[in-house]
Amino acid sequence: MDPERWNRMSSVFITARERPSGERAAFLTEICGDDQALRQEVESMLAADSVGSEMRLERGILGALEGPLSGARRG
Amino acid sequence: MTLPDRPADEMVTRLYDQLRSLARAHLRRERTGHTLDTTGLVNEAYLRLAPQAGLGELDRARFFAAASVTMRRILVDYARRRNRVKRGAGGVAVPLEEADAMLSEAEADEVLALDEALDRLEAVNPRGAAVVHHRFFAGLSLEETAELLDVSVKTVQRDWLTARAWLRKEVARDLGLMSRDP
Repeated sequence: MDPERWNRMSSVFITARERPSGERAAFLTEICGDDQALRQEVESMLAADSVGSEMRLERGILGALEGPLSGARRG
Repeated sequence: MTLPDRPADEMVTRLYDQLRSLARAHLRRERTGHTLDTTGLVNEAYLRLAPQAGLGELDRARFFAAASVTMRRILVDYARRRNRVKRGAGGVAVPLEEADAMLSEAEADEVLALDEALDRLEAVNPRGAAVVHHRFFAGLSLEETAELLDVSVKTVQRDWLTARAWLRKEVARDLGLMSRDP
């Protein structure tokens, strides 16, 4: 992983995330092409994003940061 | 972590002592359950230290940058002690009882996995790592984080969503969390 790859992955993830879930597979096929590693990485991130956290830390000691964009202190 | 302006070591040392002291006080008061969180500790430290220092804008940014990094280090020290893992030279000697009270064994495993994943994140996405530090360890909102890092809220939002999803995925993979009981 290098910064350029990260930026690409981030861009694909954010865009895929904004698509209706039914359209994501087709979108990823179009965007990722032969790059299966990229596709798998983004898919696993989409899963981690939608399910919420498996980490006890996020439900406890790291403060109440559950939810898509929630912050412990709202500005 | 890439900080807006590198904090003096003295601030980090002072913060480390302050945050550990606050953590110990909390742990002594609360015998059962987990009411302790990093957000509360950092905010309490800010309330104590800010009036003395008369913190202006730049200092506030430096404070939260330093406090979030320090909070991470404290958790890692607790986690290593909790798991009785050998520390490298320079590790801080945390009493075992304190480490046991702060973190469960499962949480200690997660802290160490998260710490390693954060190192990997910093190497390829320093700003995203900074966002994660501000959100996870200091509990700052997206707006506050954007203000302190001097970037747009939209940028912080994208950094946060990507980094958080990636870190969750990395930690879960490293620990086999998917198969763990809730």
